[in-house]
Amino acid sequence: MQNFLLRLRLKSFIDMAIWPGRLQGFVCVLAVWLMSALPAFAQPDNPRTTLPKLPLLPSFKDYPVAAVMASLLFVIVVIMMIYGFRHFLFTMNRLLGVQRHPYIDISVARWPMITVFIAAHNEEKVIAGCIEALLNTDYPVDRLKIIPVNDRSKDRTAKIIDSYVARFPLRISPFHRISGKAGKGAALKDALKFAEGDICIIFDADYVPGRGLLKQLVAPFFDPEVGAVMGRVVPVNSGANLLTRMLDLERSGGYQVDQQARMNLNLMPQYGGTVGGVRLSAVEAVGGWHDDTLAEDTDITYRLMFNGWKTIYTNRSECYEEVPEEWNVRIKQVTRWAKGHNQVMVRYWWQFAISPYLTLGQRLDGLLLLFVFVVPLIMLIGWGLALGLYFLNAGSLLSQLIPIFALMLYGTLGNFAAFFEIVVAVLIDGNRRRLRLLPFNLLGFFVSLFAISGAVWSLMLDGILKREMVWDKTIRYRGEATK
Amino acid sequence: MMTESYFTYTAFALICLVLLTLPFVAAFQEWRHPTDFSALPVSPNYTSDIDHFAKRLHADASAKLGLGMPTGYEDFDFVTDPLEDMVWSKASKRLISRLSIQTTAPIRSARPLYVEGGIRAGADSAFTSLYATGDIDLGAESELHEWAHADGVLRLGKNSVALRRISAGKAIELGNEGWFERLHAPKVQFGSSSATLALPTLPKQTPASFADLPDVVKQTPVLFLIRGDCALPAGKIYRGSLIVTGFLTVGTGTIVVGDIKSRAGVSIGSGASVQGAITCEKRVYVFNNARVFGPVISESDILIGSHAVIGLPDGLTTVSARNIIVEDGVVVHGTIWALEIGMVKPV
Repeated sequence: MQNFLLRLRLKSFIDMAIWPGRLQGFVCVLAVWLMSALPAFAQPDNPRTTLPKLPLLPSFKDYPVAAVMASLLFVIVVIMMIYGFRHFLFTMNRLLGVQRHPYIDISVARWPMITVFIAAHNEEKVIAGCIEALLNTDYPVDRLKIIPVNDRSKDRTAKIIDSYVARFPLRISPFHRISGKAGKGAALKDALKFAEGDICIIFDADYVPGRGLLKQLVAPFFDPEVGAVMGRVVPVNSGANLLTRMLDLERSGGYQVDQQARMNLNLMPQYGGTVGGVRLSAVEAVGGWHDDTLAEDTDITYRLMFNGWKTIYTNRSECYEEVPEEWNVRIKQVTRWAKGHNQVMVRYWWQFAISPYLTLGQRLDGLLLLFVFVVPLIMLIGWGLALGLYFLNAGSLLSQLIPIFALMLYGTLGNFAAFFEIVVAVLIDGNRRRLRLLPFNLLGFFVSLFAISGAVWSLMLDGILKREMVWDKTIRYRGEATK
Repeated sequence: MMTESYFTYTAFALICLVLLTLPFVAAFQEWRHPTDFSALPVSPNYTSDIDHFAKRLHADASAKLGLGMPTGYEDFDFVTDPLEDMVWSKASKRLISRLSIQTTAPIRSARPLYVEGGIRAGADSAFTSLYATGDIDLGAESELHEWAHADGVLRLGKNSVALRRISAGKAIELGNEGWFERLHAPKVQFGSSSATLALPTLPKQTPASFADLPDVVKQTPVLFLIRGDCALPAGKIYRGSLIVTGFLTVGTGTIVVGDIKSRAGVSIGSGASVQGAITCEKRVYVFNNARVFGPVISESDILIGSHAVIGLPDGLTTVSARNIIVEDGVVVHGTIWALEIGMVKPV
């Protein structure tokens, strides 16, 4: 009995510890801040001490280098605080705000003609699963055209596609691309010419759409203002190893909280290039599909937004994908995302900032999202500045800025999905014990930090040296387990 | 002094180290001995079909009656014959009636009921879930709590309550002052089917273009955007789609051949027609005798005036909002879904 009571108490304690209540959240934040700030309070300011009393801040006149460094650090701390607040706001909105799923209820309608593209480059392990799933959807057969885009595959992808075409000649029209520019964006740009209807839905070949998914993704297009739609991506191989489990946590935070909160707040949900679709007339209106970017999804999201179109996120439209199982693959993926995203940032940040179609919230959120892949580099610079100023013994106020900077780093760990977001997202998803892995996301964070910073540097060199960017395809794992 | 200081810093460093290390203990355990690692369940067969539960009961009951494949869930009791001997409140299992049920008395069943044929019951009847291969006809003030499906027509008398999923193969007729959540049928009729309303005299319609409206932005050749409020005059025909960031008023008798979207509210005038979808972040008013062919979606409320028609018999559609109020004589072809409250306005 005592044992039972003890267990019960322990369970209640654990429940309380994990429960993300406002009060506990506040207490935790306060505790972390106090701990981080303690060294600052420990600064000797007793006049009897032998150490000289530090100035509050280094003056530009007396310590010009330290003053510039301090100013930079201050700006970085403010940036980090803004990102930290943004994560916090999103999470609280997901917990307490009104959840928007305006189009999910459209289950009956005169469905428009759509074309589903399957982007495939050496996808022999997965392409059949995707085609089979699309053939089994409940979307009206006479309004659905499936185009597998076989982009210069050297494996059996073409043969597998052709075997399905032979069985379903009226439903599948293959697009075998044997030459042309490399990359998904370029392949899709060529394939889009063969689309029927105004709506096109895009899947990567490793995705397995459920029976009702197409209707859910098409429904938002009944709103003439919608230019793009994005569904939720769920890792199917989450249990493969530590990396996939960590990515599962990160994806959960990114979609369940981050994207949904942006949808709730009418900000800027992002089209992710797969498990989603675009309105072709809208794409045409904003300058067509670009193939000179590594992140054609981000590119089109931003061009649509600053030209008055909307992107819709539908959290309940879930679809499995594979996440990288090896660190080198993950690093390549993150590097590609970072380079592509930053390309978009360089191209459009000003047009986005001055667009007459955006609300203040959309403008702010869009710009913060646009600069998100520069933040790791800024963070590294901030670390360097903080350390430098510490050793320069630059000022007492700075020694307090350093712990605040550390706190904001804590708040934005995980880059896309801060820890708080991840915790809430995983709990909303109905999982719990996997949250124990959260501390390991620190590792993922460090890897992303350096990979992204490297990508920013590499992008700058690409620009200076006029190098062409190379598309790195993400490796597939399905079938390896059964071999 | 120095020793004290070193001690303080060492103790602080140790506390920090312990606090940092503690979560890693649990993390390490979960990594080495995984207890929660399966992918988030995403059902490959997930759809939002309204008759999902009805289909399941139909399959189970058919299996029990030897008319279908076994499902493994065939535990049913049978409704007694004669019906007067049936004690509905004592039923402990799901029920099957092999014959149609006809009674003027109320039936109140807390167990799912499957009827081979039709069911007609008196006022004040109540069911948790009900399936009939024929018609369902319940008297005034009846209640359906979870779901109901009739392969034929489903009729509910005045003041009835139809919660959750209600569907029918042919039609649903919900009496005046009724409450509903989600209804689906080729024809959903609200109020008294005999309700009549004098048709307003509509002005003669003349072609017009969205491009001629003030401050309009041409998004695509067939899509126009207006920032602020917009009023489409009465008696015009517009071709193309329109987005309005303010409030949109469609004049009496005006026809829009396309979709419309408004952020601040939409009003569709009497006898007007929208041959596409209406989407709105705020309230939508569809006035008397108006017609809408496509989905009508609001993130707030929808008010549908008497004798308005949504959808087409051969082009079913969806009406969805947080709250929906319909007047006498409204017809919806397809699904009408009130996420919070749906009400048939008293005459």
